[in-house]
Parts: sequence; structure tokens; C-alpha cells
Amino acid sequence: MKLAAVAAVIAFLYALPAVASGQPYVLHIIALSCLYAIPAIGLNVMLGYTGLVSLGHMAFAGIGAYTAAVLMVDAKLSFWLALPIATITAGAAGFAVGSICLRFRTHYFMIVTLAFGLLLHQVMNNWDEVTRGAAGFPGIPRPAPLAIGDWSHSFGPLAGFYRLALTGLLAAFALQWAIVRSDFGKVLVAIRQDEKLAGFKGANTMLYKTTVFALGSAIAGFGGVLFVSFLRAASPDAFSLAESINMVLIVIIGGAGYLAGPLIGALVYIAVPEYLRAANELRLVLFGVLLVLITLFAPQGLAGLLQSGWKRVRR
Amino acid sequence: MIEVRGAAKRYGGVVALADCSMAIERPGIYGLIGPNGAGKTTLFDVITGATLPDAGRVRIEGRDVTGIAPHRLAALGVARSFQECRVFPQFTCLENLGFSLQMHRVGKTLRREQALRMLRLVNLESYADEPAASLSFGQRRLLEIVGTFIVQPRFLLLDEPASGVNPMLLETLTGFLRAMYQQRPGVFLIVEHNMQFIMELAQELIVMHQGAVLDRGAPEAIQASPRVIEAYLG
Repeated sequence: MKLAAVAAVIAFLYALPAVASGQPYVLHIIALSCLYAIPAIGLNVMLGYTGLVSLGHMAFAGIGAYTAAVLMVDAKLSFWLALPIATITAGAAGFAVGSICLRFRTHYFMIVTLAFGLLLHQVMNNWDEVTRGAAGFPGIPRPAPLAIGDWSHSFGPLAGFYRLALTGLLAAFALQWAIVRSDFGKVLVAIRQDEKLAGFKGANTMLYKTTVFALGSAIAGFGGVLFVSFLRAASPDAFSLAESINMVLIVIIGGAGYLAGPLIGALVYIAVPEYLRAANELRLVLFGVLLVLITLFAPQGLAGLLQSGWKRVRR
Repeated sequence: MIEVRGAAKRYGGVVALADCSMAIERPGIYGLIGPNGAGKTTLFDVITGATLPDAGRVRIEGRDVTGIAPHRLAALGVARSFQECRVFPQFTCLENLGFSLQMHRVGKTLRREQALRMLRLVNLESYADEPAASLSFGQRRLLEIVGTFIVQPRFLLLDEPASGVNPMLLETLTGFLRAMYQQRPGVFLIVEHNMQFIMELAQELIVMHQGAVLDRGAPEAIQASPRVIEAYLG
């Protein structure tokens, strides 16, 4: 029953380009939401499940994005090779930076991640020879078409890329689901509740936290590659402090520590401001008010609100 | 089995431990008593790796374990409870116990069964699927203590297990501790202020005063010791 419902939703999402063929703008917004939801999933594993509030998360998406850009444009590697290499690079960077940041806890940890985020953003902004600097990195290709036997899929058109973004999102979601269900995930949730106690129970908390920081960064990097391939260009400002804070906002608004949290958060964060365009200058003001209301009345985020609402209905 | 040699610890100007030495050679239930500020909890923290001593060594079964991380001590069979009572509040009772077992590499299928058996021993089985945060303080205390026993530790350090526990639960606790010791004797070291409780349970009392061990012996002997009486009243 539950499985059938999930399968139906996934089938619908893949069929969406056909359903909404006259609505390229809607499809664009949904594709963009998918691309924001991927790093949000990475952050949810860190922030929502382990309690690690990183203010430099998007810098790791940037590491993935720029690594792939250099590999594809300068080294002429294919997208399908650049994607895993860039993902692993972002994960390795996360491991290195994490093993420093995680020596600190709570707000000190946040400040140190913020500092690393700023530092990495400065590198993207100023290392002209490699990142093309503040002007951005143009000419990043969409993936080459995939052909298996008679079947082939092109990623150039919006509908084609949307399906890739959706597949990437589902992969990240499946990974998140597997982590949360596993014994590894149990330790993460224990660390969030009482890190000291988890240590006395026998968990090497530093190792777990570093691993999760690396994993979250790798997921961010994976999303970053898809993001710049979608836009066909990378800009340092897509990986700035403001974007990292937006990521934290997406996770908290959507519901930190809920599987669906990052998905809901990304959709709300990307789609709602677009639809508020009718209100023109007031759009961001209205959006701000909306965020305040959500934080006030749904402290567990929208996913938490939906869950408690569902429980009340079923009672 | 446990040996502390010349342990010293200062917190700013406060001397918590001063050249504290103590050895426990045999399995048994030991009470660690002393006035407030005598250094009992600090001694626990030093033994379990929660705090690095300024000086001195800790040995467990001849092995120098001074300053090694708590998770490594847990692997050596050291378990402890906390004065302030620590459980994972969002985990259910089953999940709390399951987590202790998971950390000692007990397989998923066995965890539930063993956890339920332990909960039954302290009359908490009807709360098995309730989050720990919804229990009363005394029940949380029982859950915490059961969680330390479930991994069959060889060295168990309980920090004021009886504080905040009502008389009826206290009886459950006493019975449970005795049953556990009979089932699997180890070194049980218990910090306690409830004298009646600890006198009844412990075979030997170790008295701390001003950061060092003042006296030790059978409960009756300690009760009559002039040094101990002076420390408590002076």
C-alpha cells in the first residue's frame, strides 16, 4: 500500500514533463527545487539528524561544482566521469574541514564552519586562473545524451534535464533513508540528543561526526555539479554565505530531522517567492513574514506540522 | 582490578582531588561516600575518562587507561551512570537499551528480546515504546541503570543512583542491583548519599574527604570510625 503510493508519486514525477508540456516555467521551477533539495538533504543528515548546524554547507556544493567545471571544460572529461570525481572531492574536502571544525561544539562550531565557508567562497571568487573568478565560469556543458541500445535520453532540453535532476534527488533521498534506518543513523540521532552519553555508551563520536560531515558535503557536491550543469555556468555567489544560510533555512522550514523536510523546504523556498511575483516589490517582504509565521507556528518545520496534523486526522 | 594512584585535579582554585589513591582488587559492591565536595564524582570522571587528571595514573586490570576516551573504556567493559541521570530523551525505552547493546555489537534481532527482558525486571515493560522523556524521574533513573547493566559491564560506576527515586522504586532498584550482582559479579562502585540504601547494599565502604580517600572498611566499622564521624560533622 505504502510502497504503491510511493511508486505512483515517483511515476507521476517522471511523467510530469508530459503532463505539464505547455508549462516550461513550472517545470523549470520544479527542476530548480530538485537541485536545491539535494544539498538540503546533505545538510539535513548533518543538522537534522546529528545536530550539526553548519553555516558553510554550500561551499562544499561549490567545491563539487567547480571541480566538475574544471574537469569538463579544461580537462574535457565527460559529465558522467566528472560527477563522481567531483562528488568524492567535495566529500574529501568535507572530511578535512570537518575534522577541524568538529573540534568545536555548538555556536563555536557554527562560527568555524562560517569562517571556512567564507574562505572557500573567497577562493572561488578570486582564483581567476581556475575558477574564472567573480565573473563566473561559463560554458559548462549539459551531460552528453545517454544511449543504451535503442533507448536514448538527451539532457539538453529542459524535460530531459528535469528527469536527471529528479533521479539525482531520488538517489540522495534513498541514501538519506538508508542512513536514517541504519545502525549508523541511530548513532547520529543519539549524538544529537546527548553526545557525551553516546560516547560513554561506546560511540567514537568524533569519527561519526566527521564521517557525517564528509557525507553531507559529498551530497552537497553532487547537487552542486547538477546545479551548474543545469545553469550551464557556475558563479561564486551561488555558493556564498547567504546561500549557506538559505540552506539552513530550507532545512528548518521544511522540517529538520524529517526525511521529507529538505524536499518540502526546497519546494517552498524556490516556488513560493516565484508565485509571489504578483506582489512585485512586496514579494520578499511577504516571504519573510511567511517564514516568521512558519517558525512561530511550526517549530518542527512543515514536515513536522504535516505529521502531527496527519496523526490528529487518524485519531 | 581498578587502581588509582596519586590522582590530582583542580578546577580553578577548587581542589577536587588531591593525591587520591585507591585500589579495588576483587569483585564486589563498593560504596563511595563522603561529604559534598569530597571529590567522588571527579574520581568517577577520572576513572571513566570524562576528565583528564592533572597528575596521577588510572589502571584497569593492570593496563594504564589514564585519559583514554570514554568510548574506548566502554569497550573495556566500563559503564557508568550520572548524578544528573542521562538517558536519550527522544529514544523510547527499547531504543535506549537497544542503543547500549548496539554499541556492544549485539545483533539487531537479539536487541529487542534482551531489552524487553531487562525492562520486565524493573517493571518498565509497559513503557517499552514510550519516549524516555515521558517517564517520571525515578523511572528514568531505573532506565539509565538498566542501560548500564544490559551490556554486562565488568566495571560499573553508579553516581547517586538512589537520589530522586521514591521509596517504592528504591526497593525495586535495590533488588535489581543485588540480582545483577549475583548473576554476574563485577566491580560495582556506587557513589551515594542515602546511607541506609548504601549500607544495606555495599560490602565495603570507601570514604572520601577533601579529595582523597580517608578510610575504608565494612559498613559497621565505617559507621563507628572516629575519623569518618569527624569528617562528616567537622
